[in-house]
Amino acid sequence: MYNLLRFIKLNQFLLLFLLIEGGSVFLLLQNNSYQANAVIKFSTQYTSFIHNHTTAFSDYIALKKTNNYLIEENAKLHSILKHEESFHDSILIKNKTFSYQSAKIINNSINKRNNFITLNKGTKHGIKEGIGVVTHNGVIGIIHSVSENYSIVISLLHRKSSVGIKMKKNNHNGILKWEGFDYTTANITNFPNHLLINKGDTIITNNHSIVFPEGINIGSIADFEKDEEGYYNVKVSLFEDFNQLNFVYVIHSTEAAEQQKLEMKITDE
Amino acid sequence: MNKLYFKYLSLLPIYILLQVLVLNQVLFSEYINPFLYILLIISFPLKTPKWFLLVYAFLLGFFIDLFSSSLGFHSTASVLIAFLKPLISKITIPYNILGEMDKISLQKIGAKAYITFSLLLILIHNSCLFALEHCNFNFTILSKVISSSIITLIIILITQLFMWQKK
Repeated sequence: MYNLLRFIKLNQFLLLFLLIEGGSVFLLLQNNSYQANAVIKFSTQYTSFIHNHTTAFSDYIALKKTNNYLIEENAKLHSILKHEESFHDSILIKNKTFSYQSAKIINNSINKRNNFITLNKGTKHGIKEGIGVVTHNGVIGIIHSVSENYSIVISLLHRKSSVGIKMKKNNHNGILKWEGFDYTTANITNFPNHLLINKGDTIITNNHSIVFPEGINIGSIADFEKDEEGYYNVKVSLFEDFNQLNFVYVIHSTEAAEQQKLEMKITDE
Repeated sequence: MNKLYFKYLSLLPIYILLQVLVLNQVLFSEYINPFLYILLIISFPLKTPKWFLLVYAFLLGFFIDLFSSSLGFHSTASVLIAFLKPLISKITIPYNILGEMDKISLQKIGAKAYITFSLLLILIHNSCLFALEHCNFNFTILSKVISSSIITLIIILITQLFMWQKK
C-alpha cells in the first residue's frame, strides 16, 4: 500500500496527464461518430482475426445443427422456386432488384442494449456500408462499417435500429423496434387501435425500404394491449433466434442508389 | 502563486473569445487556421505547478471545442502540449536566463530560443489536432500543419511585440 502511494506520488504528473488526456479522447469518441467509426474500423481487422479462429472450433460442434438448418432452407427455396415459376410471365411479381450473398457470423452478442454482429466478408467481397443483412426467417440488421475482410452489422437488437414492417393479412404498415432485454421479442408501437389484430398474426417487411426486399418473415404477434394515445403496444416474437445465428445473407440492392437519388430530390427542396 | 492562477484564469475568456469569434471565423485559406490560444500555454512560468498547467490546458481546449461544437479535439491537443512543455523548455530555453516566476516571453529569452521553443509546441499541437480531425496523416495534412504553424507563430510573435515592456 505504501509503495503504491509512493508510486502515485512520484508519477503524479504523468498519471494526471493520462487521466485528462484519456478524458479528452473519451469525449472525442463519444461525440464524433466519424472518429469513433475509424477506430472501430481499425480495430475490427485485428479483433475479427481472433474471432475467426475461435469460430472455427465452434463451427465444428455446430455442424449437425447447421445441416438441419440448410435442409430446412433448401426445402423452403424449392417451394419459392415453384411459386415463382407459376408467375413466370407476370412482370410485377418478379423482384429482380435484390441479389443475395452469403456470409458467416464470427462474433455476435445479444445481451447488451446495443448489439453488433461481425461478419467474415468485407470490401474485398463487395460489401458496402448501409446494406441489409437477413436470414430466411428474419431481418438481422444493417452493415455499419466495413474493413477489407470483415464487416460489422448493427443488429436488429440495437437502440437505433428500426425496420419498416407490415401485417401479412391486411398490409398495414408499421415500424418495428427493439426495446431491450429480451432477444426473442421486439415491439411495434405505431399500430392505431382501430385495427383488428390477433395473436399469431404474421409480420413481414414492407416495400418502403430500399435496404430490405418486401415480404421477409420477421415474427408473429405474441401479445398486444391498447395504450391511452390510441395505439396498440404490440409485442412480436421473432422467428429468428439471434442466439443461434450462424450463416446470414447480405442483400445487395441493385436499384437502391437510383431510388435514393430520386428521393433525395424531395428532401432537397 | 495565487496571483498567477487568478491572472491566467482571467485571461482564459479573453483568449477563448478571440480564438472562436475572430481567428476561427477568418478563413485565410483552407490550409491555414491560426491558434493564438497556444500562447497562453507557452507563456506559463517555468515553476507553475504541473497539475495546474494540465487542468488549465484542458479547460482551454474544452471551451474552444464547445464553441466549435465538436468535443475533444482541442482539449486533447492542448493537454498534450501542456504535458510536453516542461520537457521542451528544458532543452530549448538556456539555463538560468529566466527567474522562476517570470513569464516566458520573447523579450526575456531572446528571439532564437523563443522561436524554437514555441514552434516546437505549435507543431506538436497542430499535428495532433489535424491528425485527430482527419483520422489520417498524409502530405496534405502535413502541409496544413506546417502552414498553420507558421501563421500561428507569426501571430504569436506579433502579440509578443505588443507586450514589450520598456525598461
